[in-house]
Amino acid sequence: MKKSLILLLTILLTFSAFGRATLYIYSWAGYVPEEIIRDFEKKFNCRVIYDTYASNEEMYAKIKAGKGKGYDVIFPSGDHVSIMIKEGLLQKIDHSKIPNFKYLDKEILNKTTFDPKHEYSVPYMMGATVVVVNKKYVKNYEKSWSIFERKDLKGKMTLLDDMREVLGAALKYLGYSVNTRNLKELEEAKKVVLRWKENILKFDSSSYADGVVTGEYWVVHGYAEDVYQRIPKGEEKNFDFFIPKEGGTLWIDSMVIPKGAANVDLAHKFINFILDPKNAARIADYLGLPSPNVEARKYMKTKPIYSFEDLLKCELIEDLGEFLEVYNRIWQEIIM
Amino acid sequence: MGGEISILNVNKFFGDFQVLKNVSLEIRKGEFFSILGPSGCGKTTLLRVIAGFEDVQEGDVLLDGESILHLPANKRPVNIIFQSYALFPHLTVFENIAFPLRLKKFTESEIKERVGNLLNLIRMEEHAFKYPSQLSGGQKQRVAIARALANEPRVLLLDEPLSALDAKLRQELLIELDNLHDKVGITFVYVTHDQTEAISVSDRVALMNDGKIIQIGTPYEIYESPVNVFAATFIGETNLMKVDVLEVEEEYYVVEAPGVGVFRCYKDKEAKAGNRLILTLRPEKIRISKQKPMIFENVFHGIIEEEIYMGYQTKYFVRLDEGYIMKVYKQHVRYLLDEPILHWKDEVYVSWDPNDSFIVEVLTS
Amino acid sequence: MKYTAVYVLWLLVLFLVPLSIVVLFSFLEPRVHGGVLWSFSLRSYSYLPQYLRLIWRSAWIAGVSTILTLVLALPVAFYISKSGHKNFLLLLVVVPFWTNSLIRIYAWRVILGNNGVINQFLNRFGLEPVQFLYNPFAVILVIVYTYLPFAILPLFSSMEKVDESILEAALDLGANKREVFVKVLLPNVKAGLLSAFVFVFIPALGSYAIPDLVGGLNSKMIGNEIARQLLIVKNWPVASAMSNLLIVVSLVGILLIMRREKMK
Ligand SMILES: Nc1ncnc2c1ncn2[C@@H]1O[C@H](COP(=O)(O)OP(=O)(O)OP(=O)(O)O)[C@@H](O)[C@H]1O
Ligand SMILES: [Mg+2]
Repeated sequence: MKKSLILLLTILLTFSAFGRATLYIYSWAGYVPEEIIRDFEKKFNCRVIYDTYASNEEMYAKIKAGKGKGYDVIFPSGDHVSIMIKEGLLQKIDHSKIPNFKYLDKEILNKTTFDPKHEYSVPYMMGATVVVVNKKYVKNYEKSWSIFERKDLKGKMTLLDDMREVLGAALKYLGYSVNTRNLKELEEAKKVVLRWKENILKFDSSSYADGVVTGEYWVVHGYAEDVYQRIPKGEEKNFDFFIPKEGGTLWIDSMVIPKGAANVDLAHKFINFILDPKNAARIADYLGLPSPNVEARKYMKTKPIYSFEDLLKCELIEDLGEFLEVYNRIWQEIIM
Repeated sequence: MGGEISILNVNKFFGDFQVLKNVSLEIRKGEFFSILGPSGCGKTTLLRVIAGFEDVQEGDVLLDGESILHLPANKRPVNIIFQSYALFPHLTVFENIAFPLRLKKFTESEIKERVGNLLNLIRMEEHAFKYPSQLSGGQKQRVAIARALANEPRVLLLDEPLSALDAKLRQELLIELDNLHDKVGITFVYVTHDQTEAISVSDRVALMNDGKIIQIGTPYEIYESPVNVFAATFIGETNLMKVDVLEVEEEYYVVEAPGVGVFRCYKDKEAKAGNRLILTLRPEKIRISKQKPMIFENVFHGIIEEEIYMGYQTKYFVRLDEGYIMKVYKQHVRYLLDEPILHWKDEVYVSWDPNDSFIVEVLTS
Repeated sequence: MKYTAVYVLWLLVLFLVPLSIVVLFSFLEPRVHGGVLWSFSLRSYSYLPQYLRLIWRSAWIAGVSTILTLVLALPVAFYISKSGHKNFLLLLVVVPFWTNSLIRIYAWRVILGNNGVINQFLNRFGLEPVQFLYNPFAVILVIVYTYLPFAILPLFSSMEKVDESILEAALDLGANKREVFVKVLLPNVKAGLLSAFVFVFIPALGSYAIPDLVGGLNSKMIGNEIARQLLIVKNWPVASAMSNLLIVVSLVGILLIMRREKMK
């Protein structure tokens, strides 16, 4: 009985899928709101399959192994966009099919050094690496990287276990570029991080979000949305997310179409749909982040965790190629 | 040198199950004392009580007059040889024997000398550096004895030390054990369920059944004067007969046994005419012949139902005219010169001396 | 015969092939974004001396954890082997495996964390909180906890084979309980001790999640550095070279122990 039911269901689903085109999306879990996807399905009479990954590395390994086949739209971060371009995994975007592109903020577009002319990628969301403070335990603080110099918070703070993020923070604190190739500046940054290291509990990339929410840690360096999702309802006011006044590191996630995409036309329609100001506003509200879509800001109902202006102080982490070795060595000297 | 053990009214339970039932024993200094009984009767348990591996619910155990119940096993001047020998697999023969000496912090030269003597005693010098897995069963058993003697205990407890060996080796080692006992002069408490072992070497034997001591005595006493049916049948073979007393004479009773007939038996126990007795008659005490013997009492006619040739003797099962099947063992003393050879289906006469039967029990009717 | 073939195939596909890839990659040049360039190089190995401190730390953390684990596992295994409820107790030993190990590590944070159960309890009585976690000892504690079953099981199975009567014989010959344990039981469960050692030390040496979650600034182990080299630095040859180092250290250790066993 049950078996035949499942069979029937399968047949039905197959038939319905026949009639409609299917768009395969590969993205972070919960990154695109469900209602946006449902609206898109309705509007274009198609079906969307939303598959998820937990890290750019995971996504990259899968796409690389499949030579860019299997998905129509992917959401890589900046550095991985440039890697995928170099590896020849992406196809060019047909801008004539994306009229809504014009709504994107020029300031953001200027920052996409990984694909300056947007031949291969269209920005989806951007954000900064932030400092999160649990205000139940820490009342007075300055919104600056100098918080990590505070001896009174010794053993209650964590920094990301990520050399580009941490060195980037120190470089910004000193007023340098997060992508500096100047050895003297890097040595100075190293000294700063070594000072911070005295005060932090550990370098933590895996459990800081949980830690700050439960009060295990009081001040953490990390990604706002990671922490934001874990805060229990009604406790939002206990947490402060700030981009230090000196600025920090910026990330931009873009939408790309891989070489092997099966439904290129629908993929373009989807990207254009996302850039529709009303949709973009809903997405930004949902994520708690500022929208890169200028027109969308008029429609937003919530105040983002941090403002768009704050983001402009931040700098995108760029691929340094061979120079990364130097960063590696310095990081090694810090953590050993 | 040897120790004297007194076991006083010991009761021991495993849960609800009573293994030792009011057991009392006196084991004398330097004695070779056997505890004999069927499997599961509580022999090992009794030995383990003496060694200190089991506590008792009631009663006391004295060694040379002092209670040892409060002493843990490692403090009792008593050593045990386990059914399985329990040699240490990771140590050589030498080190196995040296084990108790090293615990007592003997010097290296003392250890060499003592172990050397013990190896000599058990004639195992050339095997000193083998591991237990490289030894035969008999060798293992000797090492176990040497190791138990190394501590110079006052009493040596042996739990069926020969049961894992074949019959011939068992015989040899038993004699060796007896010699050893004479040499070291300490008390041996030897547990076995094999009656020939117990009888052949022991000074005295305690017969056990179902957690109780049935009889204590020399092997001769136990064999010749069993106190009950169990004792009579457990040790050696016998013809057990229920007989009715017809007449009481000065020294004998005239009795009638169903399937046998009327005969005389010695008055081991007091009884009256009309009483019923249980009588044991050992098969080797019965004569068997083709010709009717020249006596008038205790002679019966029958037919050989079965003969089992054993080499040194032949076992006959004779069906008497009245129906009783009697076991008769004939020793081949001068086999060829004796009377004609008896065979299956031969008609024979069996006879015995009225003094050779023994009244085990008087059943009051 | 058929089974041998299956076994060989299994070994080849699941063990030898991946291992060969790791060995091979360690002798190649890294590509910037992960992967390897097909040219022979010993450069990855020239990095290893930098990690001496890390290697030393990993070794002592794993070593101390292993010894503690064995010390705890011995009496437990002994107790179980003598118990009348062996199956039930063994079940209890393996029950933790029904829960994901990451969750169990997090549970330790809930218990011992700065804001954990114990510290909240202390706090209620006005006592200063104690920082139990984020140091090498926390790492050792959780390693011991995690790998205890791996030590109990082989020790149990070799203790079960030990004839009870040799323990009684030792007692009878004058040994006290400690002497029975050290002089008779231990030498007779050497095989179990050896496998317990191997089962604990090797995974402990390669620990990754435990130092990451309950360790602090000075308790990163070699496993964390391998993961960092592979995922963040994306230098596959260095990650492979470090893995090979782990393999060689483990192999040499095992061989040395086995050799010593044989000579005896
Ligand atoms: N630890 C124990 N727990 C419960 N019952 C036991 C225990 N040890 C022995 N018994 C029981 O006690 C009784 C006597 O056992 P014991 O080992 O003393 O017999 P035994 O006379 O030595 O027998 P065998 O000749 O077979 O060695 C047996 O019924 C046995 O099942
Ligand atoms: Mg027994």
